[in-house]
Amino acid sequence: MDKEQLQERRSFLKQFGATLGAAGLGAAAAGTGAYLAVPGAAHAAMKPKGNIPSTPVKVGHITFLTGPAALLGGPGQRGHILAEEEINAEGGLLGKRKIETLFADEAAGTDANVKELRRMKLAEKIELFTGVISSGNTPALGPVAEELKVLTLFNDGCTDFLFDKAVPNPKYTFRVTNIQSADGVTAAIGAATHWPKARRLASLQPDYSYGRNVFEHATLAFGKIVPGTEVVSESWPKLGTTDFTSHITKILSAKPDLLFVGVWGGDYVAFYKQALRYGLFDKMKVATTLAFGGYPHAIGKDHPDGVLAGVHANYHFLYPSAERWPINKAFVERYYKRFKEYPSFESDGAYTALYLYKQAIEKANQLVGGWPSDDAIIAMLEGAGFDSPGGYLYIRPDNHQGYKDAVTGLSKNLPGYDFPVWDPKSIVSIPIRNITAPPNWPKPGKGHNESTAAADWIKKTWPTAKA
Amino acid sequence: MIEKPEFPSRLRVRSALVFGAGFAYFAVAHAGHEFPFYPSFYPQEITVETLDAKAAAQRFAKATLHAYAGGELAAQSAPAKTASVASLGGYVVVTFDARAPQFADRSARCAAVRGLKHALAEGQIWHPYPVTPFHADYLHHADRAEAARVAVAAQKAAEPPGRLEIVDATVLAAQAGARYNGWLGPPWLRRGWFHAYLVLAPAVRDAGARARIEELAHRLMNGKHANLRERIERERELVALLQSGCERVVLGYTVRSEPYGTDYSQGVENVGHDALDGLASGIFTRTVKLRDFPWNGWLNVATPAVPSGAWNPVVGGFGGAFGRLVWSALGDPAFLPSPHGEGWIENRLSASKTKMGTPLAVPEDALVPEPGSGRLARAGRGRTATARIVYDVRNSAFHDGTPMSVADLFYAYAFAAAWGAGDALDPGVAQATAFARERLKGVRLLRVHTETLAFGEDKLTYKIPVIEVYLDAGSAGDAMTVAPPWTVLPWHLLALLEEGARRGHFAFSAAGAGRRGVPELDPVRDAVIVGRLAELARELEERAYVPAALAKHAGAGEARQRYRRLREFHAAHGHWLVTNGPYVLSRWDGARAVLTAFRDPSYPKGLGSFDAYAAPLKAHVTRVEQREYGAQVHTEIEWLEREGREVKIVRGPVAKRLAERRTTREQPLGLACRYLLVGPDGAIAAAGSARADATGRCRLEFARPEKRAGRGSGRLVLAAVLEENVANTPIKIVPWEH
Repeated sequence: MDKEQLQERRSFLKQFGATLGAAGLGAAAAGTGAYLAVPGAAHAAMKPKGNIPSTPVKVGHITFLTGPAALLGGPGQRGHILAEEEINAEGGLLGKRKIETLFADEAAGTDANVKELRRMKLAEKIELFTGVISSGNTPALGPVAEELKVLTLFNDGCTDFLFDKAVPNPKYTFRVTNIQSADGVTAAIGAATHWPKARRLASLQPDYSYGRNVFEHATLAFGKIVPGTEVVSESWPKLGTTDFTSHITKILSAKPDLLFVGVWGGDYVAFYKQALRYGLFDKMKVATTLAFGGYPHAIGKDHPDGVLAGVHANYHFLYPSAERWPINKAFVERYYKRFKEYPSFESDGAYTALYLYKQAIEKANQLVGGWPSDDAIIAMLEGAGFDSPGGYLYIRPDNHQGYKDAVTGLSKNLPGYDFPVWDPKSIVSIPIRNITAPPNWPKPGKGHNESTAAADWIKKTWPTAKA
Repeated sequence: MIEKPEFPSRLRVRSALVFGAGFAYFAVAHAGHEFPFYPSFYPQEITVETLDAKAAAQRFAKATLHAYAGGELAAQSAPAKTASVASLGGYVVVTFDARAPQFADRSARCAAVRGLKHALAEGQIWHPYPVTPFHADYLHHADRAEAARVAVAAQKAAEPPGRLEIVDATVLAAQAGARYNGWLGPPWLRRGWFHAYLVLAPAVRDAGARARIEELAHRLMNGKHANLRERIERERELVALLQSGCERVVLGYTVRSEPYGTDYSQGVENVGHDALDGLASGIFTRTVKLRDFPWNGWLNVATPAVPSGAWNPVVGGFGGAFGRLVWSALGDPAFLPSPHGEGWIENRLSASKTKMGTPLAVPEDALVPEPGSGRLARAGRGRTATARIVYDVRNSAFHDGTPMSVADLFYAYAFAAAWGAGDALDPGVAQATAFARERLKGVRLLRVHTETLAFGEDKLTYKIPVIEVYLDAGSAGDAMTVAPPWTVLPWHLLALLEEGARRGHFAFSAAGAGRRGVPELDPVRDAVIVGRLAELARELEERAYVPAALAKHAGAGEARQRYRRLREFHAAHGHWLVTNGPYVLSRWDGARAVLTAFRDPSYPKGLGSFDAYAAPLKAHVTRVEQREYGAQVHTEIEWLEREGREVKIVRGPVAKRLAERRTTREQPLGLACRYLLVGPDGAIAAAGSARADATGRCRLEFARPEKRAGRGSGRLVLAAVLEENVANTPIKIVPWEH
């Protein structure tokens, strides 16, 4: 790295507060100071106030149990199970009420998911609804949760649209993982941190809404922070594309410096193996949003080093590092012991959601005694801070969205793992407040027609770097 | 109500892209995520080639071969990171020379058989009974098979009266099968009694026994039995008669042990196989997953022998493991045989309503294919049938991009009628469709409804024709597979092939080819046929040819477009094998076939659709208690547990499994106890099936009349069966006091 690059990087890091390497853990919840529980760790038992019933708490959890998206849903379900088992092992919520979870398969589609949520609430009398991976589903389920008055903690389904438009004034609906626009923006900042001289951009995105969201936010953000960029190649492989040859040759012929990739799961694996044959990774830098998004062990050892390997801007089991954040170390150890695999960002999200609920109940109990009402729990969730395995999490009271520092890193095959992980020196951690629209920023359709509030905010407030 | 946001121009919602048949479209819209449905199955590409066992072992060692279908590796040459699946190989059979004086007498022949256990070679399993544990109906015979094994235990070794013969079970079934354009049959093709009939009946010399055998077989084929008990009685009587003369005797069977690579990350997992057909079966290509890929990847499969027979998509054809493997991926049947069960898995059709029994009036406007001409005529007044089945049809685009229509479905009937009877009769088509043609009484389109699989505004929409079929058929389970409204081939391809056959370029079957002195249809590997079809396709496009049977269902413009697409497909791939299956034959270079996943949004099955069949999990009877009402049976079951990269089968109590399962909306656990109660006189006193409760216990209630079986000692033969996986399931035979 030459001197000029170093200076550019320092300047950039200062502007966006990003940290490089194993540092990080900036407080997402600056000013709230509301941290309470440490999940899963042995801590002094809180003595509940008042009478607590001993009936179980029924929880509904819809996630992908079958089909390709089980790559995401499986780890999420396991994160939930681990949290449930740990809480129940201590006697349950407030030491009295054990959790009983009703799982259902999200692969049934949006309409069926909506029916299932209604059934869970009306027939099964669930007190909490969690899970949901698809961004197509949360905007349909959120309004129903509000209508049914069922407390809901989505652990993904991260579209900005949920709280921008579908449920603009949520009461019962919350979400734990970062919003979708952070995916593209994190890839952009990660790429700019590592490759500040990249100017010629290429994009390979799945030809549906997720890909378009990534493309828009990644190129928008990168264009703002790196001067003089141009998009020299766009590729939109259709659903089910298996032969990426034409896309790869198109990208190669455009001679980009940097390629943004949003294809995921088996499509990403097929892409990178084909790209290896063409030497693509030697000819440009590659920044992805989901290369490490599934099971950590699902990526082969032939995956090239030095690819910015996204985790949906949320969590990778090696970060925060064991010495800096024992909560994560303990979580990973317990998860591995229980399931013989490492957790993914979905595991962290589902695990955190259930513990966040526990924390809110305990806090409300201390204030009002007995089993708290939903209103009391909601009051404790709004503005809550939480020490999750992935770091500090803050639930913003105005939109019920969880915010935590976004992370990404460069892939590397390290001894001790049968699959590539992040190079600890390469991890980029970005304070979430610096890449998401602040409270009360106008939603789409309210004074602007950008696709997300984040896009409008970036366009209007981020300074454009000068060449 | 969700308000739609407005977008900058480049992100505005695109109009729905209509794919293929117009039966499915995928709308690109806002607010989606990683799309959670992928059409077709795990590998993006499957290469099938031929290797001898030595070369296969070397390729396994280099992790460049994933499975060896139809082949086996010697134990000493099997590389470390391989496993294998077991299926029925063949019957070990001995046939007595009727002219040999020492075997002229039945008792001498039967006595000689009992001493032949030692004559079996290594790897041949002594089982002197013609129904094996690999058959789904083995439970009906388990006590008799066990008795036959025991009867020879103390016998002195004897020399075989002749050479022991291996009758390949797959070849046997293929010869008796009736595969026509996605219709598989006959329904009893995979049953043990039928295999016994195929192997032994030709050798039976006693005229009386022979007549009774044919009568029993006919009754079983036509479902003419009042209940399960009666059916089992007939099956047992048939098998007993087949063995009674000892002219030909089954001594045992062989097990086909097909290897596959298990290395992480170069191997495969989720390897489904069929109890009778092994890896060269539809369930393999629909389940196998490369370990290095969540989905996609390049699968390499080899077979020990080069392709045999023509690659004929109409009837028969695709022989040998190579051909079966290729066709299993290209040709999507209406129903798949349950790989370890007795029934059928709904694949492209679901039979939603079935009426059986009393004569039903066939609607006047139902269509009936006219024998010889294939014309689709109105049924008119006065027709009746004994069964009415309503099917939901899962259409999809054909590989040439042609949308699939109801005309394609109807033309399968017209073709069968045209070539299965009359002047143009092809003996292969006639044989394969005989059962269906005899029983079909009418077919009618009821409506077309729409189903949508949506994740927010990302949608897959399917238009599903609902078609009713009237039949004369015996049992409901068998009836649905007799004449389903289904085709693998588009009508324009069938019309092209018909024209080729009429002009004498080829015949539709090996039998027809032999009769007419022309080659059998092979639209891939026979260069002459491929060339002639190219000339004909051009001509039919110019003529905008629509077969007479479809005059009311298709127009000239559509016909011209269809032939054009077909010709474009041929230009791109060099062959004419256009189907609507999950894989496309991308190329055939004379040595290897390369199949590419057809990830078209209209294809209705997706990754994981058949995962439940990948591991044939078993149940086990742990205890049987005689009760006043009958019996209480205690069971344990198996389930899969994932540990990181590995999956293992664990066994335990049902209650533990239910606690582990953790989903409330799954189907109830498919655990049942199947049984037959054999009376002191050897007759079946009771037979049936009882679902297990949440504790894994089955309550077997023997009906009162059957409880009055004579006093004395009998046997209760029973098995706990999980998810219909009855093949090779452990069977318990317990003494029973009546």
